[in-house]
Amino acid sequence: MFIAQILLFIGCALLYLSHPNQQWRHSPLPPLARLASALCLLVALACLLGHYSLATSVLISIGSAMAYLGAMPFCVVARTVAAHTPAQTTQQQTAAKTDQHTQQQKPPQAARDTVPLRRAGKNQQGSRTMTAPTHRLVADWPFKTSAILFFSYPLALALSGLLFWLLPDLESREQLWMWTVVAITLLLVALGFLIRTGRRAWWALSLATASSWALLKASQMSLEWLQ
Amino acid sequence: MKLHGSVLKVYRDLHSWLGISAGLLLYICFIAGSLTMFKPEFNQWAQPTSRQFSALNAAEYDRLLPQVLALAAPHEVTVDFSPDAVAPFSWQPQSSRQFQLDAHQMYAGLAPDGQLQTHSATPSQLGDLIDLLHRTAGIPGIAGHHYWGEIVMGVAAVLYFIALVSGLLLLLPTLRRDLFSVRRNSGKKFWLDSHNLLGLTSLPFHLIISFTVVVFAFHDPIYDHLERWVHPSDSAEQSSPPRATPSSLLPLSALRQQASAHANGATVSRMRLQLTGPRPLVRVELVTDRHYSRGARQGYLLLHPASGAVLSSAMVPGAQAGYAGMVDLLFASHFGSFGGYGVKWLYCVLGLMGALLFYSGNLLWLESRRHKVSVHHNTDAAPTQPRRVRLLAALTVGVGNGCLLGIAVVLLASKWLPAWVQAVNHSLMWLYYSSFLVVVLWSLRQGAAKSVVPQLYLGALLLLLVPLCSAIASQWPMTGVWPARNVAEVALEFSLLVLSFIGISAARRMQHRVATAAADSIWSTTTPAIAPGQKNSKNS
Repeated sequence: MFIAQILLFIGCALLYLSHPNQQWRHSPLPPLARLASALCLLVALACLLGHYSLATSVLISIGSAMAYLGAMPFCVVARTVAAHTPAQTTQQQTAAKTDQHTQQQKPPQAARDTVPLRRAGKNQQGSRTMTAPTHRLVADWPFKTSAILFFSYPLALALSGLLFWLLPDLESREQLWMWTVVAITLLLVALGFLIRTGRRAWWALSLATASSWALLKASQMSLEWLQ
Repeated sequence: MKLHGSVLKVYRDLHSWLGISAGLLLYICFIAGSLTMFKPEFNQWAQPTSRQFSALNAAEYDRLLPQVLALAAPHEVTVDFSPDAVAPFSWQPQSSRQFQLDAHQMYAGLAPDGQLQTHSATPSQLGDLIDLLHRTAGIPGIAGHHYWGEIVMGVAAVLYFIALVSGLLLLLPTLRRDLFSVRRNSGKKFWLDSHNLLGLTSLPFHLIISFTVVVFAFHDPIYDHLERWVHPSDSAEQSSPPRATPSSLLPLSALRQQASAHANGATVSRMRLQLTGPRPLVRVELVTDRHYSRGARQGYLLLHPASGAVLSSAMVPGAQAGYAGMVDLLFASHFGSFGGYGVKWLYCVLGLMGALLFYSGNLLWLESRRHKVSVHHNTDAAPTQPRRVRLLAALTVGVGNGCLLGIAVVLLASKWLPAWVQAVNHSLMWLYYSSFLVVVLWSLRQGAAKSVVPQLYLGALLLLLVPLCSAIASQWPMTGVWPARNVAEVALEFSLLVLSFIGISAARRMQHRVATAAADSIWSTTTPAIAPGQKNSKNS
């Protein structure tokens, strides 16, 4: 377990250090480091498999990687902050406060040293978006939210009802079935706002709900008739 | 990946407002959830007296059980086989499905003279109280057999899920470019990057938590709706005919042997004997690190009390048949019930990182909406922040620190109260609520900037006092405080010591932050005249 954790840590560290946004080294590690990272993670998984089942090993690996990758950049930043003397910091703050225009055009030295200048400014927003006006999503909060609130759960119930027949009759089928209702509801609620307008949301969701329930009930009646 | 600007706009609004609606409640639940990982340890640590009965061998268990059953009838008896259990046998004279603050517990074991000895106590339920805070965020009230807080948190978890999906959509266009970036040249950018980093790296954890919380809160009505409206014919299969009460119970050694044979290598730690009611059964708790399990630390096996026949093996770790494995995987992903004690620490860290995610989200909301000193207006006056900004800043600090301080007060009180107070659990609960409310009111009255530093120092001091009191307890026994009694308790108090140092460090940093805050910052305690050079300071 301990060796596996060390390997997981090294794998995550290599992954972080090979990324252009890393702040530990002057320049990121070469791409080969990612291969080494993958190798470390695989060996860690193999070590874990000696003690745990496959599912448990994968869960431990994912959980550890989440913690390491989430904490690593902060630890690096804390180190770089500690590396600067208080005098330097005060000097930088004074400079920042006394010359706002300089600060706007030229970031502090520490920031330039530690932060790669690859970040996009606000003016780059347009470059990551498509400009076709016909695909514009309208917020239309009252209509869209009400449609999602009204129809997501009933639609999820009907879809789960249809899904029930696809699940072979095994142990704990009802439990998994109940979980699918929540999963579908959450996805509908979260992605329902992608429907372009509130009116369309009402039409689309109400039609989907009505047709799903109709299909469900028709299927049930057909099955009863066949039996 | 490219997304239309309007999609980003809609989901940014959604993310901001849903995040801010649920953030503080989720913060409380995540802080308490991190501690809930060590619920049994907290419960044990808070007992003024530790183990009272010696461990039994198999023959002694068999010999004592009939006497215990006669004493405990008709209540359910729990048989504990673990060597560090408080007692081999225990039961609740007034058993209830609800959490009871004044629940009496009966313990039974072997006296030195070889006879059955019983002992009654109202144990401190510190761990259970923290768990309750985790599940309800401290919202009181009961609706049916759920707490109102659980239902509210179910709704908050839906908002949380939407906020996670919307946050992911917002990050997708710049995911490759911004990953691992933590910019320090501006407070807002630092918190934005921190928020993105924490959210993205822990995304699977957060998705699982939000998904499972919705299920935990609403599974009863969903089952009801499925049975009533979706597949009504299946409802008949759910209710099986009641079985007769068994006339006999297998000896414990035989039941334990039977359980071990079907435990898939797991250790039999406890048995709960549910001998009355329509479905008499023995619920066996199985502990293993190798496989994930359904409960917070254990899987289950159901046996028939009279025959020892297996009634259900669907929750045996590593041997879950059919879909039970998938269902148990979801439970285990919420509880961190896999991989043993190390994973409990891992989940504790992930929980604290989650709390930081919500805290940073609130700070970002405030940063985006505070009034900044305009470069173009040549005025010396600091801007008056909008009421909603001041209110949310005070609430963020008050609720965040109120939760931490409340827990710190409760931890300290757990060591002092048992010697002086009868109703310890009631007192602990009232202490938490009073501390929480006082801190929230303090922040609302003084504002975020003035209250944050003393609150952090106070919280750190309270945490520091816990191990200190334990350390000096042996010198002053008249106080009623007891020292740490085993390695687990020493580790727990050492963790509190480390937390107190982290708190002091955070308080010192915050003190510096407040002292150097620009006049338009939410951390500004005064509104001094602003020199021209300070007007566009981004250091906030």
